[in-house]
Amino acid sequence: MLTRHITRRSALRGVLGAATVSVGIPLLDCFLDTNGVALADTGAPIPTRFATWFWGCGLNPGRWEPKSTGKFDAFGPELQPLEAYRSKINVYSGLKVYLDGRINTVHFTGEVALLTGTVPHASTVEAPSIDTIIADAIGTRTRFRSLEVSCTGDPLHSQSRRSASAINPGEVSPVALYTRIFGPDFADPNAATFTPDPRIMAKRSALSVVAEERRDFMADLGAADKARMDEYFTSLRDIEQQLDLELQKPAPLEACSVPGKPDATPTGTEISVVQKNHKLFAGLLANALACGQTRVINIAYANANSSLRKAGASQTHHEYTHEEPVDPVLGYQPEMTTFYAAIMGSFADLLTALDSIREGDRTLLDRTLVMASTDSGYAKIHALDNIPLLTAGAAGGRIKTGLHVQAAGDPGTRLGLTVQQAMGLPVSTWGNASMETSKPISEVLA
Amino acid sequence: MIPLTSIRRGSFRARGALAILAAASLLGSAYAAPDQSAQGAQSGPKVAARRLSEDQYRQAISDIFGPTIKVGGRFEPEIRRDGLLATGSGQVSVTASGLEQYDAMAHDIAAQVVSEKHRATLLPCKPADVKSADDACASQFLGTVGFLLFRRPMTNDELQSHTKIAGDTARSLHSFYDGLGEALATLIESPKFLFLKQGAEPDPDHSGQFRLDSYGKAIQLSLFLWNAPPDRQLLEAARDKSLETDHGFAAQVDRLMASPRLERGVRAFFSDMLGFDEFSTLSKDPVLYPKFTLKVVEDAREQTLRTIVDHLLTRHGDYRNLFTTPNTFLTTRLGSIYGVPVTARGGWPDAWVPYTYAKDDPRAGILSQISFVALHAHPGRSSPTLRGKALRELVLCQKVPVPPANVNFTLVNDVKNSQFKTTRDRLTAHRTAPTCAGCHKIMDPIGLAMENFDADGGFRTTENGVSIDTTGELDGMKFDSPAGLAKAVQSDPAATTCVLQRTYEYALGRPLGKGDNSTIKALSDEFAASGYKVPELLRTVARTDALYAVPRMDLSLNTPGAGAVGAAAPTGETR
Amino acid sequence: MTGSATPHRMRARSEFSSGEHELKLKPIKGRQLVLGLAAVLALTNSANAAAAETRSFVVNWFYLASYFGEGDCPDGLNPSAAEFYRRDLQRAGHSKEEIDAALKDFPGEGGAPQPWIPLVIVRGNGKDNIYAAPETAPDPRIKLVAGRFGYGFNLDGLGDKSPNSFEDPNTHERGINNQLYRALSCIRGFRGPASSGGPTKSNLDEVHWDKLREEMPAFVISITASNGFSTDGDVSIVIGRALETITRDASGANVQSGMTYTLDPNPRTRNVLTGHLHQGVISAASKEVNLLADNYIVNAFEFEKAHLRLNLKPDGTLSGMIGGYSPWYPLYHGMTVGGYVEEYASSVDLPGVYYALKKLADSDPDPATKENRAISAAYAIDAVPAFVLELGRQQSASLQPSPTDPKGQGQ
Repeated sequence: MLTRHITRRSALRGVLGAATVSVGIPLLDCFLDTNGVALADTGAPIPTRFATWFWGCGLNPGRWEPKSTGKFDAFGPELQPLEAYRSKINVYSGLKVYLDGRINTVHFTGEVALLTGTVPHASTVEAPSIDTIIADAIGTRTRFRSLEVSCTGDPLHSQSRRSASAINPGEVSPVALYTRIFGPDFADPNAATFTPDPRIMAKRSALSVVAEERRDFMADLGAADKARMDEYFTSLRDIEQQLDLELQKPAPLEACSVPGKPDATPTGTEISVVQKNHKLFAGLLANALACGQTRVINIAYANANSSLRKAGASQTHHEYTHEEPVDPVLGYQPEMTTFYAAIMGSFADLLTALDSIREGDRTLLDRTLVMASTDSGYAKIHALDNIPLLTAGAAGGRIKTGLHVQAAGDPGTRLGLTVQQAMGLPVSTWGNASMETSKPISEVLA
Repeated sequence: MIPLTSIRRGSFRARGALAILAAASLLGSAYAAPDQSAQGAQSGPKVAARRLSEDQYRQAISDIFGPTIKVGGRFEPEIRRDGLLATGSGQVSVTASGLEQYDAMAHDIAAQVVSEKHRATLLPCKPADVKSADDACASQFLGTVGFLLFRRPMTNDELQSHTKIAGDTARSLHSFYDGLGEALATLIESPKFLFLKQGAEPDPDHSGQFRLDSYGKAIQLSLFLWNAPPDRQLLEAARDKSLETDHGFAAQVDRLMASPRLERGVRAFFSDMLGFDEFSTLSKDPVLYPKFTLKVVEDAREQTLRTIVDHLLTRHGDYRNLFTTPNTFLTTRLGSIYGVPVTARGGWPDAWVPYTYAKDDPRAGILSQISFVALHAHPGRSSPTLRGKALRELVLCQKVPVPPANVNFTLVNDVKNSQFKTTRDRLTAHRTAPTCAGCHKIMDPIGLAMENFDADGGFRTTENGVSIDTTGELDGMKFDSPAGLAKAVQSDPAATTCVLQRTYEYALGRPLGKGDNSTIKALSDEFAASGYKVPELLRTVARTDALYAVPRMDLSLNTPGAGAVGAAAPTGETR
Repeated sequence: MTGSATPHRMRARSEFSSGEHELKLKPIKGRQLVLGLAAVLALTNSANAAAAETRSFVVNWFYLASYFGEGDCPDGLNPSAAEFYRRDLQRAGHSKEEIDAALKDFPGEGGAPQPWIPLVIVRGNGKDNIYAAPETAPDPRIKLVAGRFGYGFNLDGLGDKSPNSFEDPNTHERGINNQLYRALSCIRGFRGPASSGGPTKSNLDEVHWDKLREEMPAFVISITASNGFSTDGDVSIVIGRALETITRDASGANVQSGMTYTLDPNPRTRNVLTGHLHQGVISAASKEVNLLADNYIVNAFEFEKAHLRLNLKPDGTLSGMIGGYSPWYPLYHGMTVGGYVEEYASSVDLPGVYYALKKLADSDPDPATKENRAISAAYAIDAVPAFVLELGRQQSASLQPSPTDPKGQGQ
């Protein structure tokens, strides 16, 4: 087994003895630090990824929330399909949308409010969606700023929007997505020659000035204050290291494996078709993340009006929410509720796709933050309170998982704010009017 | 000038280690002149550098670059020490994730400042070539802004190295403004901005003793009265030494006191003293208290601060009457909790309406407001113990011992117990068990008189169908209603002593020590003579010499963990 | 997810010492008392020996008073939208292939053009908009409620002898006139959970009202009891609209209690009823009650020969019913502005509803055609305490709350 004394640099020089060269070096485990988290000699972290996942028509109140808050040991029955990943999921209950007197454009308002922080005016949306905000921050140096898919076959079933008018359409065909990512334009992370970004170089050299001031600044401090200031300068070194990494050729990504091309599949709203396409998309997108093609993915499982239906039945999921009577013994609408089982089963498929890719001694899911949202709480009455929201994945350690947070009556933008902060964005408030919040869900922020 | 004739001159020794004194030497001109590294005796006194709080950071950026520059991000949390966040600020540092945030914020702010939208108004010059470096213009801007950010003139070295950053970056990115932005960001994330380091110099009036230098004085004064770093005018007064003269100093104190920003300072002080940082985690069980929404929480904090500002500043009232004043401000939402109709013109639910309770209404005074009774209660039930404790510690500055680890909470939590219908019944153990009674008898009898206020602040006269008994006692004074308690607090000398003590500690940024006794006594006499008027108190404190003294430490005590900042009392008269 | 408070929740806040009243709903003949309109909001005490008391409320839920239980729809429910569209298009002469193609992905996605929409809009005669001209289609004879029980009031005064009337399942009062319930409640969208102690909300009721109350100003009720609420006596009730919209509490589903509302003085939306408090039950009546609502959903609630029955619950909330004869065409119109969306989302056969309402209308004959223009109806009310002030009085100095009555209703 290789010892710690071998660094990547020495491996490079040993082979070529020159400075600027490209060589594919396998990612040996000994190059990871003891936590399997970083690349040893540069100390750089594997990037955190972001995913949004959307389904329509909420869940039955009282049947999804875990009974206890904090670390919980059981989901409500409607989230049971996610049991295998319970320790990697957070459940948020009680969050809602405040309309400020605006019309509740049913299904649409809820979807938009939670993803953009603003309540739409009739059908005019006033702000970009959270995935574009995050992609602008973390997605500017990957091939795709973000990737969107729509599992119902309708490209307009997408919740990602950059501006008031334009939705980022979703890819509807898994074959087409494959070609787009892994087709002729695919660039292997190992092969490219590399040029350092001058902005990063500038930033790095600027920070070194601050670091150099350390001695001067500390010279006339007392011992205890010295200790406090040392902490500051240690933190500064961390940032310098991150910048150093970004000035080097990108590491080969062992986790990246190019998948096989899928067969052509029909698209549509029938539930078994949607499930199948979703599974194909999940696999492709997970590989796209692992191969560094993008850092942000957006999956629209269905539209907010949940057009999902069953073969042979004339009513859609949405219609069931309004027309099916509540069973007096069960306390919910039984036929309608079967759709939830299918929806959450598919969400579990996504988590499986992410969790089955190893990166170091963690998985891709651990390094991702998945935000699952919907458009309503109790869909029967288009309720905008107690809207089910989930996150999955540990965001590279920035999110604590396995928790149930009950934030009754708080605007759902609290989750969006928390997600943005976990992804490292410098925001302290999000949303407008009564959806404006400056209170992240600190219980889950690590 | 207000002579504090009871102050003794002479030398003092450091006592009562509550904060860490840093040992080094600082000559008065150390920061003004270039290249002066630490010289002189290592045994000279230090002042613990306070870390800029979130409010102060935002104020600084707003003062320097204008209010249109947006500041976003997560600030490192503050800690409370010895009753005040202001004291804790001298003990916190910056963690790695915190610095990441500061770094992002600094770059974000700098990018806005040099952006096309702002550069015309915020930059004093244009570069010769926008695609290249221009050291003259960069240096001009950085020197001016650096003076304001570092709160003292930059040294030549500092200015040169930052101008170099601007130049190198400009050349590498082929953009003057990108270069300038990088240099500016470096200033904003520098510890010299994030930490309020105050310099000391030998006190010419008292040989062997030290005082804050001009810039240190400016910081002291500005943090106290405005909760902000010193603005340009104050820094200029420090630079041209007018702050060192009686006249110049008084003029600055007058200016700060007369400014509308004094209200912010007063709000910041009372938020700190009354523990309003707890608002960020305040919530109630939504089934039991469905009226207690997030909006109510925001309104409640604002209500008390408005009441305080109105009573102390606008009406120039006696501090003691804060506890009994029937005047307050309400929104409709607060009205729904307090049980009073509140309607503003136009029907806006968020409008603030001045409201006056009837004579002897128990809802008068700030102790009956949500910011006290709901902040110090549980999410699902009221708490006489928490309220009693809060009164003791926050309002009367009296310490309550910590509870033992092996307490059985079952009965207290059992709000449905049919045998014990009221909180008073359930707390019987507090009164009767010997291990409990010792401490609880100084808390519970206070809080039990407030049981008319439910956990969300709503007024009630029965609990579980039984009439609530609100008899109680405070240090011998007996009463039978919340109004009675309020009167007892109003006449308790500990209340005025407490606010005075906290004011002084807040200004100093450290807890009091034995050596401060004579200053406190003098301030206290003043406070009483003025009729317990808080603006007068603020002015007196701002003008007392002791606030700007830096205590000397014995050499023998100059070890880490020992000694105290400012434990020795000041000398001399006030200005 | 409903707003009903449990007594346990309010245990620490109960202020009402109304004693142990037997709240049995005895049938009360609607006597119309002539009572002066003095001090409707009782800012001053009346001259009576026992002090007058006023309590005010804001409406939390307002929905059709419907009974759902065994035997209410003996022939089953009305068909789903896909079914009645198919039926209608067949009748209109479309071929099976055409119909299959149109309904292939039914309903498809709202907002995007769907092949069935243009067909169903004119399914009456192939060219006219069926929602505006429902009589272009034959009467589909939707299934009506045919059970024994129903909620509402005895509006025609005929009691037992009233044809097509219901029996109240709880009080067993006979001669309840509620033809609106009969017309609608076997339609899928208008179904709700089984009723036990009183009316329950149907799906559509919840949807409509939740949207309505979010967008329109609040409905408020102010009751003045001349002898106070603990003793029998006369009452005067103002039911009207406020200037402010509701504020929701932390649950999100219910209106926050204790807020302050200003009564809209517009006479089109401010109604006074007089009546009586007897053994805990308030009954009142008025020639008419009009409550403007919101154009987009329900334009107005209008009642001729209005009856009101209210109970003050121990937890301080109010529940009850209002009924009367409502013009039936505006009711149809309110539904039909939704057009095919109303139909497909909730399986409401709109021409069917048109014909049913027309047939069941039981009051106010048109002098020319002799056809009835109004239909008997009843709505259930759930309300929570609030302050209701007259415009112009809100800054009154005399408006001081009593410290022992935090709901501040009594002055």
